[in-house]
Amino acid sequence: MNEVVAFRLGDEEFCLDIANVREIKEMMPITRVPNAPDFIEGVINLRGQITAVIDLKKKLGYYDESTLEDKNIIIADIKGETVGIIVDSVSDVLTLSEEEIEQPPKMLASKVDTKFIKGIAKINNGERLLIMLDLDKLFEEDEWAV
Amino acid sequence: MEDLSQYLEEFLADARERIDNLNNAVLKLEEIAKGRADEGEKRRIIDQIFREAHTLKGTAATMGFTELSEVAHKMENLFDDIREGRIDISNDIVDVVFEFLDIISEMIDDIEKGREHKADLKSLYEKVDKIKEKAILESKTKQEDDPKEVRKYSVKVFFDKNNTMRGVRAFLILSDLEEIGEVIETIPERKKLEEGNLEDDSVEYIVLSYKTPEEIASMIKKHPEVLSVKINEALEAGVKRIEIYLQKEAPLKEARSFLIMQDLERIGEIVDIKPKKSEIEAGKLIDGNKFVVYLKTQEDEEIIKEIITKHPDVEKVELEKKEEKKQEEPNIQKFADRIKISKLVRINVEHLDKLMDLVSELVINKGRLEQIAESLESKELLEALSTTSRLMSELQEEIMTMRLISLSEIFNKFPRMVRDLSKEMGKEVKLIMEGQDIEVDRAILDKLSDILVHLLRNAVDHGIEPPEEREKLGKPRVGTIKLIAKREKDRIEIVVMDDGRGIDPAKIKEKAILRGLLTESAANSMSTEELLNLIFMPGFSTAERVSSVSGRGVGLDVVQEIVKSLNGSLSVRTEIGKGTSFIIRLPISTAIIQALLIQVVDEIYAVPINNILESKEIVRDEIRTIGKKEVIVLRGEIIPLYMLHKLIGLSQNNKDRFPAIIVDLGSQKIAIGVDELLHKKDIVIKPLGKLLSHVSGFSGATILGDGRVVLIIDINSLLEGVKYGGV
Repeated sequence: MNEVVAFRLGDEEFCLDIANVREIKEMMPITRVPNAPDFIEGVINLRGQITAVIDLKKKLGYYDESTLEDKNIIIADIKGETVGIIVDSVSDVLTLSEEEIEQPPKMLASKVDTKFIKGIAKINNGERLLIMLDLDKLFEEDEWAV
Repeated sequence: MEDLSQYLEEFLADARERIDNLNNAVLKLEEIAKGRADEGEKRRIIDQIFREAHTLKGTAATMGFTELSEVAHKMENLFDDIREGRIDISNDIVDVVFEFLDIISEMIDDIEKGREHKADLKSLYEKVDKIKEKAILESKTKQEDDPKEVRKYSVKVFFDKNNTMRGVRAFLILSDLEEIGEVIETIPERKKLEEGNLEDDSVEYIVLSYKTPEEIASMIKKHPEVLSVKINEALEAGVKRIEIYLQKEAPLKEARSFLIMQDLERIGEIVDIKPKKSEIEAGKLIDGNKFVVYLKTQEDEEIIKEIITKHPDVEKVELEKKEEKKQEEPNIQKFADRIKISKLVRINVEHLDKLMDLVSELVINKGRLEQIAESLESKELLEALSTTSRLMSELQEEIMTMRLISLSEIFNKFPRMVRDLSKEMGKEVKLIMEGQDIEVDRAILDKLSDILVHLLRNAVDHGIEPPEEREKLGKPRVGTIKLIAKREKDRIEIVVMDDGRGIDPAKIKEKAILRGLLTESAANSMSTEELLNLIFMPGFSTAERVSSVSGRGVGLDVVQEIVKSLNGSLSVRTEIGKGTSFIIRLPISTAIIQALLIQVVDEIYAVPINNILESKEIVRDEIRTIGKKEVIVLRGEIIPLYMLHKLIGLSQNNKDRFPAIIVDLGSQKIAIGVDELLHKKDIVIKPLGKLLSHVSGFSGATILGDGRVVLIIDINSLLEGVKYGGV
């Protein structure tokens, strides 16, 4: 059984293992960090703790002109570090059965590099597709440096 | 059981401290085994080790740790044998003692974790027995005159007054005495004897020796000019040796001396006087102004001094109480230690951390209150807040001071570590430490320990060459590693310096290209300094072979990361063939600093106050350009000007007047133009986290009263590019 948090980026739906997710926040003031990599939007005050926030769309290579307003921040744990992840909207919290999860295909009609994908969840016989992201891979040690 | 656990923590802390002390004492003992210290020092250290082991045995037994107590007991026994001269100190012994300490320290760890200990005590005890057997065998085959008790003698030798050779003879006797023991003191002083000068007809030598008085006397009497020899065991109990110096120009010294002696006779019995009474009466004092009285008395030192110094013309009095002193010293010391302990309270670090957190929260809250007070424009509230503010800073300071711990806490462990490492690596290394007394916040201390272990390991493993190689290079066989801490205002600088082979930039370049960290063309365009900085990159290790010491390249990048997380900086200086220095600069406390808030466009930043020399309003017309760079002239000094906008990627507005802060970059002053200077504020430094650890220009962030996150500018790294001509 896999419990996941589903969210939207553009017209695609993704999900994260709920074990990685700490909470979901409405958009809040973000302080820009000069000289930081482009996909790092800045830092927020998460109950007194300084938390870096990343724009997942930028990180995955999407072109996005929309403002941050109305978006959500998923607070997640990546390798023991708390990080905020900006997504367009959080759509669902659901439980996936093993049968619904498939290995990632070699080719995917999504911009996302397949190496960051853990699997594809097909719900309702493939009516709804969720791309299961591998956060740890997405923020591999060398990626942090940039 | 409850009773026991109540004291357990204290016991563990105490035991660990003792092990540290023991480790360092045994290191000194090792030096002695190599013949590098004098007898007195040796005795003192052996006594110290004996005492520490003894106390450890006692406290362990009280706590019910019988096994630990037994190990300590064995160690104590071993040192008893050494103390009594039954066993000589050898390298074997030093190694075994270190083994003892390692096992004891493992046992203490096990006690703390509530584990059962399974150390191989049997093989350790066997080693001890072997050493003892060997020592006994050796001592039997050695000389027959087995070491008797060492005693202290006063040896007085009288010469024929008319013999002009008596000075030389006195010196020869001194040499003879040194063969059979140690000459602690001579009257007249040694220098005069060495020059062959002797005005008097007698010399007194204070000697430590295991020979009997008869043996000593017969040895001296072999010298022809000697009239007689008088040997006393130096100063019987209760006799004090009082040196009295009169002022050089005092009139009637003989009368004064006489009066002083008369006073002394009222409180005790004068056993001896130096020079002789008749000579004093003739005004012949030692060096013209000094005489010595041996007084048997029960009176206190203070009272004796008082009696003498109430006489006019007395320059100073020096009192020495022999024999008794020796036994009293450790007792007094113990007593003093006990008093010290009673003034100290051992607090679990977590309480202090919690306290610090609370104060940090208070500081943030105070900021919030101040904002509310301002928006209410309530004068009364603002006044009350200003008092609160003052009290809080005091509280803050007090807690910060409480958290300060002396560097010796971690430095103490290094001599042993370096010894073990160098032994393992087949190197010979001497560790010199300075500045152990400097105190830093314990949060820093914890991390500093990791860093220094790393750097010291590096120095032993990569820095110092093997002894043979050093000799070939014409360097001393024994390499030197210096660990020096210095305090500079509210920062500390710690240098780890070795006199080893240094780092070759060409080798770094080679390796970086090999590891694929760098393209060849990029590497070729780098300066030496830039090349050196590559050693701090993840995945870079200059180790040519993997050893258990330096490990697998988990290296300087980790050190760099830790230093950065402490708002510090790490740099390296090296010269091929001469050695390498790593320089760490750290704040003494990480938690709270005073900062100036500044504004650029709509962004607020904090600049640590101690970075700022002054602030100045700049008029655009006064800006000059040199080359293509903007400068201002401040009291005749030309200072480069940079706009913060540019440094942080914002567009610049062209105001006619704007404020600037003048900062000190170490070698150079720089002006940084901003839009507005807001106000000074105590801020709590919070780390930016791992994801942003590679971003240069900021040392952390803080949260203002309104919850807003403000970045703290790290001037040095922000201007890094600027210094070398960038931007």
